Amino acid sequence: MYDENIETVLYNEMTTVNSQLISLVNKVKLADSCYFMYNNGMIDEFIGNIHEFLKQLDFNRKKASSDRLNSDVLSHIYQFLDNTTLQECCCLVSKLWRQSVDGLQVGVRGENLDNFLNGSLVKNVAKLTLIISGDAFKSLANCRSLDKMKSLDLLSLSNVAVEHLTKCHTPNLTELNLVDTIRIY
Amino acid sequence: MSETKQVELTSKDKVSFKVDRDVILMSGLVKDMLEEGDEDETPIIPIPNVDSKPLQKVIEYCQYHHKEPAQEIEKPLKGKIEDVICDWDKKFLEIDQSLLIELIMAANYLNIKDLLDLTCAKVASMIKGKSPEQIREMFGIENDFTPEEEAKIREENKWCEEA
Repeated sequence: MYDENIETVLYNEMTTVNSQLISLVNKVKLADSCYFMYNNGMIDEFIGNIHEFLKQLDFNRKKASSDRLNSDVLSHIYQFLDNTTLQECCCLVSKLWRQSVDGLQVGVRGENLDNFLNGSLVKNVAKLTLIISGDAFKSLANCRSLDKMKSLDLLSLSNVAVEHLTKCHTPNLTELNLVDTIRIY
Repeated sequence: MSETKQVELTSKDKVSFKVDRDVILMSGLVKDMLEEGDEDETPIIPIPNVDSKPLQKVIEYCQYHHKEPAQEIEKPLKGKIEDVICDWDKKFLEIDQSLLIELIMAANYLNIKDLLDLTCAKVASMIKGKSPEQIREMFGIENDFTPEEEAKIREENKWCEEA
């Protein structure tokens, strides 16, 4: 349960422990070397607890500053990262980091299209390359998650495909490329 | 000889900095505020979102780059940031992580594009080559995905290929 006065308690305890540590440093200097031989276990436990405390303190201090990285700032940072890092690392850090990815460039083959369109990554895609044909365009037309897509690359475009494409919900699509060859690695 | 016009910036923790007007015009926010004010006075501009430590670094950056315009940083970064910035910027970025993040927030708030690019590119460079776990540890981020959600994301990545 969250204690309302936890910050006050923490401050007071850290101040006390701080004074005790200063005092301990002086006493350690005066102690006989045998003392350290006979009390190895207790000393190891003491060091372990200090390490655990420092680790938690370090994590919380980092968290305090990185909590300020909002979606706008993350998007700006992402501009300097390649697609693989965005997709395979940033998307897996946290929900905020994932939501903030808005410039993914991905290629999808026909057999994976339904899985892709029903997944969550589709919301982060800015440039999509599709190797699909005919009826597969129907799935695209039914998808309502391509809000961030700006560019679509296709291998071919039949009349049926055009019909489905006109029904697609792609409010930010500004580029449609028909290419002779698509390379997907 | 005409005296250089100055501006007084007051940080969140009430520390004042006198800066040449031409220098601080690199900030879009300050520029907009100055356009609304009286030209003859030394304006006092409160910067309530920025502490004195990052504000001092911001001023330091503006004082240098006001005369030496910053070079555009490539997007995405192909290598390390140190390979694409000048020596002065390298030295400028020798700061701890919490100050770096405070600088990003300050550059964003004060609308200083080149400084925002530099600091964000530095963070991007720190992220490159790290695993999600290492990134979380580096920034003190808690993993708020359930194991099932994490597995689903990894599965989804398999359906997509690099285009």
